[in-house]
Amino acid sequence: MNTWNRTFNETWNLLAGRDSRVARDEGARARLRAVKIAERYRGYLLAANTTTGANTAGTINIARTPVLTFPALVRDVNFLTTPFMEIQITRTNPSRTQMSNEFLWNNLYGTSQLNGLQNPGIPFSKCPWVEPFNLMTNELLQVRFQQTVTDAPRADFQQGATFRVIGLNRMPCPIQHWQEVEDYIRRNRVQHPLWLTTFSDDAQTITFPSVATGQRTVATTREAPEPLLLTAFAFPIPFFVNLNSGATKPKIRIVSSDGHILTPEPVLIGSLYDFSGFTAGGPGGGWLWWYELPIPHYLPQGGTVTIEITDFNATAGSINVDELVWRATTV
Amino acid sequence: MPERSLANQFKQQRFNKVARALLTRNLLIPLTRKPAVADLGDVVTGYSLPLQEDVMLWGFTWTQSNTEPSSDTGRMLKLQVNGRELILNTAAGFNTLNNFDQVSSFTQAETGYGVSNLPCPIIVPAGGRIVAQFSYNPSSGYAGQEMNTSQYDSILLLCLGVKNCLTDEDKLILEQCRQWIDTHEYQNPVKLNMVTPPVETNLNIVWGGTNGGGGINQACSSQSRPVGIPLLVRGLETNLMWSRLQLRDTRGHDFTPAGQFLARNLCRHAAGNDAPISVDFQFPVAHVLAPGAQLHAEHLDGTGANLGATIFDGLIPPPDEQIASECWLTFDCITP
Repeated sequence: MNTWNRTFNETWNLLAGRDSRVARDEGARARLRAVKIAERYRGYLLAANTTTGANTAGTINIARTPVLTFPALVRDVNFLTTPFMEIQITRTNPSRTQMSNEFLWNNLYGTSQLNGLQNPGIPFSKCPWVEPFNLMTNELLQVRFQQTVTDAPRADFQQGATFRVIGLNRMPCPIQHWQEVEDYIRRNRVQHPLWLTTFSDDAQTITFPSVATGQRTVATTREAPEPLLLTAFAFPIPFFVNLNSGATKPKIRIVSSDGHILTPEPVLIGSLYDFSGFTAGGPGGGWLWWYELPIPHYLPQGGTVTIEITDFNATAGSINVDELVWRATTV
Repeated sequence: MPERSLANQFKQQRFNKVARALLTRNLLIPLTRKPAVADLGDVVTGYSLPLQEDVMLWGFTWTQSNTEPSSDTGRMLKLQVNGRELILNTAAGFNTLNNFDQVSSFTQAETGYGVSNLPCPIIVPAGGRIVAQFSYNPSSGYAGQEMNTSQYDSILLLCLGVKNCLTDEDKLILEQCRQWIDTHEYQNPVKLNMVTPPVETNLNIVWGGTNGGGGINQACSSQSRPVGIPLLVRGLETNLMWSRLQLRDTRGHDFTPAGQFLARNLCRHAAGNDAPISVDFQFPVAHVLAPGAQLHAEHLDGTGANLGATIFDGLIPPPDEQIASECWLTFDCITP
């Protein structure tokens, strides 16, 4: 049961006078378990980005994720590509002398048709596997983009895939820390919702086209007033203006103050979009709707999350980088 | 047909849903109407009326008028419940109000943001108030620009009241539902269309003084047919935009105890577009409509092409034939 459903049921029971010692203990255990899981297993956004776009039919671009230094569970993937792209994903172990590729997915043909969109540089809805699969240490995912028609493709539209993965290496957690979390949960009978916004330390607004490729800016949240579980973020870059133009597209890198790097490689922002969320307005503009983290991230009291945005190169428009929002609840 | 044990399990789940729904009351609570944000320096505050009971706040919707500026990227919102912030920004002053566009994340030009669930529900105690403040982000590029004084924001709070026991009448309905579930293997969807009675059609009650001749400052009411069996009301659909609505169940439940709300609050649509884009709003827990009961709506004060006082003829035109002058309000129901 996810956090929302659990807290909904608990709140409903509380109002219905069905609060009991047993229910309280069960709720506290579930909350503690959520923190333990969030601390032991970390989520990652694993990017595989091409350096160029696709020009004519038959153009092939290969993108690779970083080599994993830990085993991981791959939940799903989002793409940012030109239309009519054939996509093949393989898992490889580059450290072996003889490559042993395992075929994962092929012939995801005409992905734009799936989404009913014809614009170049379009993001695609999340593509979950039938079953999440494991990646082993020293393995990586390779994505092969092959352009099938010459109609819409352009050489300067970078492509990419972002995999949502959960690291399966258990992180050590000091006992004292658990006691602190447990004490907090005992003191606070109910969880409190919070939207945590970020704040840019250099410029609140970056205006194109004065910003050159490679421009970076950093935005950091305020210190968490209480221990939090972050579950998702929403991003304010309008898709059409900022993601659709230029040889390189903006990327983000997310790091929390405890040193966890959510994005080992910068992630193409466009490859986080999920068009199924745009029920109105279509692709002509719009903000990234909630992007769910692979697994909730525990942010201790006083912790912050920093987001770095790089590689702006758009022809028009602006971005307020102080507006990224994290969805959170107290633990 | 499923196995007997499995069928019984499904039936028990259906029964549990009815029991839960009978204990739950869906409430749509608007913030008090607030004055316009006149220029960049303004911060305007809206409050909910003090609540009469403990409720669960599970989400809210936010909409604004779409006159100026053409883009609403600078719109900022701050929410406080029980004296605690729901949106934690960084600096003082204006920056404590956040541009909330991305939280609802629809297109840049849209002015109806749809429903935003809270990260987790929260209890607002009786007498508690929810506070919202609005302003413009000074970095949004509208510096020195005077805002149209007809600008306003409207917040609708989505709440649940929960009872701790059933009344005798509730128990009777629950028993009727049990009989229905025992004798019916499947649930069937039912659409309850609202119809304006002929007498109301001719009345077009003047609301607030001006009779616009077509719905502005006017009011009328509509109701569904009485239902013969208990129904679970799961949500509502309407294409009314600028109308204000009050909804109740003739058995006694008032969905809008704090007064009328702007129908646009439940809509998501493009700026400047009053075309009838229908709303599909779902309650988190269904409402039980007892046999013989009707749903009743007051629709008030429409403007432009979307007239609040426009009558409902009980028909929903197919999507390709929908025009602004044809309005509907339909409740999405299912048998127990």
